[in-house]
Formats: sequence, C-alpha cells, structure tokens
Amino acid sequence: MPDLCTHMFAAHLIKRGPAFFSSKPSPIHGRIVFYIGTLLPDLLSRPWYILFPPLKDWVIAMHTPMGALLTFGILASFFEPHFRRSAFLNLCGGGALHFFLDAFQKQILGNNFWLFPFSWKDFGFDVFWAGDVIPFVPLWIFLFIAIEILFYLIRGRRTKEPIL
Amino acid sequence: MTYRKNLTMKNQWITIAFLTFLLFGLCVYGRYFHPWISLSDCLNDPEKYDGQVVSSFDEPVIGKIHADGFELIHKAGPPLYVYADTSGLKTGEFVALTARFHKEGHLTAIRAAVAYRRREKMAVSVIPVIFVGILFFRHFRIRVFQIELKESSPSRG
Repeated sequence: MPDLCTHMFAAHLIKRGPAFFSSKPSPIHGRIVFYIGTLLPDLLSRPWYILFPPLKDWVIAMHTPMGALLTFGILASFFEPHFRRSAFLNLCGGGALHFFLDAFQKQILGNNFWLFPFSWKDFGFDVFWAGDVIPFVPLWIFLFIAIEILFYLIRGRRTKEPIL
Repeated sequence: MTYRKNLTMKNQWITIAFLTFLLFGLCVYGRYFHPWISLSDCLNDPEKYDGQVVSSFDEPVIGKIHADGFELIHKAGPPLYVYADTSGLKTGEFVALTARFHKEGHLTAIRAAVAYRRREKMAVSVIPVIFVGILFFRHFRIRVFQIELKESSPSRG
C-alpha cells in the first residue's frame, strides 16, 4: 500500500476537486465517510499483523474488495437510515480508490486480490515501492492545506461552507 | 410507527449479523486456503517444506550481514541465515524476501530487496487517521448502536 497520507490526499482531490466547479455545496459528512472508506482497508488489516504477526493470514480478507464491501455494509448499517445509502456509496468509493492506488505498488507476496475469494490472482501493476512515495508526503500535506485555503477564498467565504 | 421502527431495527441487526458471518467466513477462507507458504509453516514442519519457496514472513528485518548472506530477524522464531547476494542490503531495514527453505534451518534467497522507509510509512500513516478521527467526531455523534449526524453541522449530505 502507499502510505495513508497518499491515500488521503488522493481521496481529498477526488472529493474536493469537483466542488470547485459545482454550484452545489460539498457535503462534509459524505466526504468524511469517503475518507474513512479510503483508510479502512489498511486500518482493518495492517495494524493487526504488525502488532500480532500470526494474524496476518486471518486479516488478508479485510484488504480485499469483497472483505471491504462487507465491512462497509456493516459500518453503513450503523448510520441513521436517511444517511445509510450515502454512507455506503461513499465508503465504497473511498475503498475503490484505495485498491486502485494500491495496484501501482510493487509487492513480493501480492496485495491486490481483487477477485478474492474466487481467485488469488494478483492484479498489481508493479510501478513503485511504497517507500518511493514517502518523500512526497510533505508535498501532499502542503497541497492539502493549499486546496482548503483556495477553496475557502474561491467559494467558502461566499457560501459560508466550512473548509473542514 | 413504533412497530415499524422496531421492524427496521430488527432488519438492521439481521443484516449486520449476516454480513459479519460472511466476513468471518472470508477471514477463515483467507487463513486456511491461501496459496503461499509462510516461514512459520516451514518452521513448524521442516521435513514437509524442505526445498519449498517461502514468500510470507512475519515482519522480516535484516540482521548482521556476511559475505554470503545475512541473518534474518523475524517474529516466527529465532533468527535464520539467508544465503543471498547482499549488495544493496542494510542491517536494521525491513526486507522484501522470497526464498527457498531448507530443513537444516536456513534459506536461499530468490529475491531480496530492502523495503525502504517502512518505518516512516507507518509513522506518517498515523497523521490522516488522527485527522479523520477528529473530523468524524466533530461532525458525527455515536449513540448506542447508531452513528448520528450532528444537528449543528452545516451539511447533512
């Protein structure tokens, strides 16, 4: 996986970008849930096997589209009924973006079991190692803040829309 | 109205229970039917896995480097010796490794590369988690078995 800062920045671009050109307000609740969707596949798998390595094979399913879909379904069920559908779609959108970005990363074992549990085929493109992106993290954070300031100056001040 | 609400709640719990059951099934499938061989499998039954290719290690770190290989520090047991081309390897770094297991208790590397900046990756990954956590609790409220949107939040989209 790329680090979560990279995932988060990509999610922010996807959700914030169109808001610059739209007259509709950018709903913050949907955006937050989208962020959660993009972080969740790693949060549900990586910490467990870093802290408890024997759990590695147990949590591999949590980092697959099918496992993520089920997790998102469970999580979305806890939201208020009127927001449930939006929550589920935003979680799925964030999750899809996560798996798409992960596919660019080089892996020894494989990490992109998109057809799990029907196949163990790895769909990675093997473009870069995860560590190659780390030097860009300060740039992502800077751009994230710059986008929010720009958003406020262009739209937020006029529409009273919150930046975060 | 109350009956309808109770029915919806009941359906919600049936859905959650069903999805949790399916997710647990996927976890079990992932654990017992994955195609790779892990180092802990080999160490538990060296005779059976002699000569097999291992690609799953528990947090493997490069120990002392020698002319013909390096010590592999891992969480499945005591360090193992890996015969490998050591150019580019560095003590203390995580390693991405595929190797052939030998029942005598050593490995021959097929592919070994330093997983650079893995610690940094873990460290910077905490930042968005904290950030989204703060955003979440600013705009949502957790009630018993329900996540609610805060009334004071400006948008309920």
